[in-house]
Amino acid sequence: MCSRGSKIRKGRESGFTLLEALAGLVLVAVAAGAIADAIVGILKRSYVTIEVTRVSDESERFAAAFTQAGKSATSWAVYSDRAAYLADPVGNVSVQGNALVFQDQLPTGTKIIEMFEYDPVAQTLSRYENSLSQPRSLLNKVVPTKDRTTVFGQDLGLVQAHWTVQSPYELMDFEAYGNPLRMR
Amino acid sequence: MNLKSSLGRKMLAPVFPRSRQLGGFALLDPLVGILVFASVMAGAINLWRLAEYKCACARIDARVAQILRENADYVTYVAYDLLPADGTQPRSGFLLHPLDRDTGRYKDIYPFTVTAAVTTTGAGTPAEAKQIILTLSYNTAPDPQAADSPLQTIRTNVLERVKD
Repeated sequence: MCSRGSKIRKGRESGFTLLEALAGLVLVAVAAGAIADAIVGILKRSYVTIEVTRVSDESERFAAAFTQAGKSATSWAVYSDRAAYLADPVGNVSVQGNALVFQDQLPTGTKIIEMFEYDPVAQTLSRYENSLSQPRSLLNKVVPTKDRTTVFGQDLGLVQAHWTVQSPYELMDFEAYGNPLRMR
Repeated sequence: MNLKSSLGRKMLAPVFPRSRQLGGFALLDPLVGILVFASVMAGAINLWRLAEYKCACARIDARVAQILRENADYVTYVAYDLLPADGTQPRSGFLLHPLDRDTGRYKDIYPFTVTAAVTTTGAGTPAEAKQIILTLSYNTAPDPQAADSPLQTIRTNVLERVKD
């Protein structure tokens, strides 16, 4: 009796059986899968938030540059596009368009040209300073805001821009206003 | 013989605990381990979810600040005669437009309105001026179910315009 009892006891204390270990592994795998799914979801949403914030900040900086240019400009004009501006900067001035040119003058007399341009084909909104070939800043996936056909416009002397960024995660509307010349 | 048998007992004595050590974990050991692991994971995930919620709040705050900045710029620069009248809503819409993966369309969430409170002083005189306060109200849920109102209200400082 004593010998048989000790054998049984020893057998019970020899660890898990294969079935128990497999059941444990399945449970752990299910739990790990659920946790991993939750973590991946959280990471994805964090990435989306970071991307949306980055795109939003870019447009905010663009709007700030627009307002700042409007504050210091000695003159500005809206054109239908870049070609219209280059062809005749005086005669082709428009009420609405996809090119906006601010002109500023330093105390030394040096003129500074700052152009904001929307390209409807490439769907880009860019800002140029002096050189019209190299943009200082560029926004991608931009379209005019709903119910508008162009990005820039003027209304009784108030120069303004309305654009929408179509990011893969969120649609973002932006507006910017420039200081009218008569308020200087 | 006596000495040998007593030594033999001493030598055999540690054998029983050793067989216990080789017997694997007790049922309680992995249960405690799982409990600790589950507690840590629950805490970590809740912390992460809180951070995510704070990120969403920050995103809404940034959008609210952006809309108020845009409207404040408009009120600051627009022609005096085009200033919004008292009680009007210069702008309304939705704060965020996230993409709905199922439909492939952008959703409209968190409706908002911007209301102008305009006080005119010296009306009809050369010193006529207007003090304007913009109030942005938004709902964090389009269809509030909770007893407490999710309506949030943000006001700007007084914006003053003088009729030239």
